[in-house]
Amino acid sequence: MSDSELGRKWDRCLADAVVKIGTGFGLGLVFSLTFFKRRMWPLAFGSGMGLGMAYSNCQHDFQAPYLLHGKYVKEQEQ
Amino acid sequence: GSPEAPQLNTLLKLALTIVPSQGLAGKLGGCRDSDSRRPLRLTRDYASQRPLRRRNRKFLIKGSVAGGAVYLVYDQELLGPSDKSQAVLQKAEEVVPTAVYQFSQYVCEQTGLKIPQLPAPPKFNFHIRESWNSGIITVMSALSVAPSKAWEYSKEGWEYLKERTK
Repeated sequence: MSDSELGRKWDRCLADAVVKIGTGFGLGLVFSLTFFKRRMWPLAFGSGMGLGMAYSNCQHDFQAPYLLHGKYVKEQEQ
Repeated sequence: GSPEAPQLNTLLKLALTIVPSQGLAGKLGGCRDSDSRRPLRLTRDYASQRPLRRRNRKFLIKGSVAGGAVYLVYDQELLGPSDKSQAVLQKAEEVVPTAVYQFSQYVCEQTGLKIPQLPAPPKFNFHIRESWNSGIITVMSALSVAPSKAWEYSKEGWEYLKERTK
């Protein structure tokens, strides 16, 4: 694995971790405010779930070095 | 009062003390449960409970908000593969500053307030990403050379002291 590819993988892992932790925190906040009487545990649970999912994705990404990551390209209308 | 009434009262008190609290005496209205030390509630207070319609409406609103949040997460695939998360983050970096700026302009127009324009942030010509690798390599090479360099410097210092003391 080259340095640039390794750097891209780390970038992807960090971005994924930020998004997943934020999403878990947000969902936990919504459920805490609506159903669980503003308790703290849904926020911790959601953040932890997001962190775990991000860690699992990173682990799969680093353990499968030959898997190519493509980009979605929109077809240009003629 | 008749002389029989005090006798009945004393007999009743005696019965309530002798009979266990979970028995008949405990079931009589107004008797105290000796185990829990709370008066038994034999009737429900319906006036203090909220109306059923208002509770259902509140639950529907809460359920729709939570369901909408879950659907938004599912639709945007925020908890999906890392490629999608990276794309969402890049899209957010492009969209959020312009949205915040437009919202602030709208607030200024509606309220008449003038938000002072902050000066532009200073631009550094220092790229953290590009220099991070070289920085790590420099630090690690310095750490790997440190023991031999320390040995050389200490040897030179010892030679210097020996010459001075001669």
